[in-house]
Amino acid sequence: MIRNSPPCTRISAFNPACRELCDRKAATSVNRASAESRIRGALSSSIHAGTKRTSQRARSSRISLASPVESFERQVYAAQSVDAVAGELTAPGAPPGLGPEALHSGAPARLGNNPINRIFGSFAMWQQPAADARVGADLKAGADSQPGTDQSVQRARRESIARGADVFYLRRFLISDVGKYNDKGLGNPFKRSCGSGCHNTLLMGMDLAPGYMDLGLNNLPWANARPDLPLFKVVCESGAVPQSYLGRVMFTHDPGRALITGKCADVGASMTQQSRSLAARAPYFMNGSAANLRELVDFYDRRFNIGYTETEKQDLVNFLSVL
Amino acid sequence: MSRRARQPPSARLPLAGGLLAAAWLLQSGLPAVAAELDASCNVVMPFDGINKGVAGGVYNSGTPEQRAAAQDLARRAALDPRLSIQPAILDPPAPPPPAPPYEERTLVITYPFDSDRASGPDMVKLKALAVYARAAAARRVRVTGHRGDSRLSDGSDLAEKPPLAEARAKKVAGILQALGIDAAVTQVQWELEAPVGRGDEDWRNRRVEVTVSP
Repeated sequence: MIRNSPPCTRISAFNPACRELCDRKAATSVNRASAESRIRGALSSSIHAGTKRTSQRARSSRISLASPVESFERQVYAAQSVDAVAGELTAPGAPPGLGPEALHSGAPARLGNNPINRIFGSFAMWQQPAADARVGADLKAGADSQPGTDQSVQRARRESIARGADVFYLRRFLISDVGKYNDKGLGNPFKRSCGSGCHNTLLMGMDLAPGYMDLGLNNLPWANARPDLPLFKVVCESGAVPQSYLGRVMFTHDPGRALITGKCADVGASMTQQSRSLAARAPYFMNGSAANLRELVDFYDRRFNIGYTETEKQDLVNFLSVL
Repeated sequence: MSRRARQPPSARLPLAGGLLAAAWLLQSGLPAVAAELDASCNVVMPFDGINKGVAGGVYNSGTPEQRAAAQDLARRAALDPRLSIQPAILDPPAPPPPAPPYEERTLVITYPFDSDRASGPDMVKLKALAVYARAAAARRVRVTGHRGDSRLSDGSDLAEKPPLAEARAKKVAGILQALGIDAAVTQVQWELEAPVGRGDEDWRNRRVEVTVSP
């Protein structure tokens, strides 16, 4: 079973729940090596980061591993810096939430789902037409003049990214039948956008008040078809609190949180992930069931019957590609 | 759709609430996992293009100071988008610390039916009560769990599960201890019986009472 561990970069922005994930990641040398190789890979590409290697002796136990790994990750700020089409993402006039410097200087652990912050800040400077003359002037002077890049193609990509930001921030849909989410008193269905529902932490896009939930990533009938993974049948005791929408008999590729708690209601539940550096760390979801960002968007579109248009899907993919 | 699952005899894992058995997806397709009671709510209409979720105000809750700061930032961010990643919602000022005279205080936490999950606002009150109990050096913190019975419109009764009163009480006691309340002064108890529902305000029986005695 594939466990695509989340990169716990900028861990100071996270709450203890994510640290738990980091600790779980640190518990095995395989996952630890995976995290390090991912970070090394990111460093060798377009991601800026400050690094310090963990010590070799830290391999011996979970207790001795947790501290140096966490110490290492606390000083890493990983975010996309360059897009092959949109160009430099941190040039003057670019959206302020992009790039690792925004993470480094940004306030940690703040709710961003409000009309000012919009999770990753404003993309107005890439909208068409330019939001104001001053921003347009910045574009002309800086980010829009990448050498060797066709300006019209670059501008079209930037406008697509800005539209994708609006889809992420504003496009609401009905979230229904998510175990450990809709049954928490929120209502079923519950209407939210990507950013206002779960991925709401300023600059990071993880859930500021996270919890394990069954989005449908692991449990049938919603999970993507994965004939390469084992399928488990879970039969809960008659007195157990059932999974609210699937009952006490479930088929799952990954029992998820239930393997830790033993609770029927936790079968298939996993944690909302942060959203930075997505382009560098496919495949997506904890079981790797989305090979690329388009498959990720398609899963949500199918799961919640959102009805994204083809343009909206591509805009959302382009937006997620520059975080 | 039915499915025949191949289950190796050794591939079983007990869970606290059931049994996990290994199967294998032999073919594509999705099994039905639970019978539908009513199909009326199964159709979720796609986005209608009307409500884009744009909030009407910058920040309509919080203290006057918080709202003023958010509105000021909104004005400045409209001119300079670089400010849009500055936190718009600031922390409210810390409440004044509890001061004597310390008196007995009780907090009543109510619950949804068959749930031991309290609301966020009630947890804020519980945190404040824990601060009060520490400041008062409480000699006793009594946590009493209850479960309820609801009288339905057809005259029948629907009772919560018997272990729920205990689960609620122990969960709240655990939270209090995590908030710094000494387990030695914490008295945890629960009522085994649920009061008979009356069809009116039965929700009040689904509760935990926390009493701090200085």
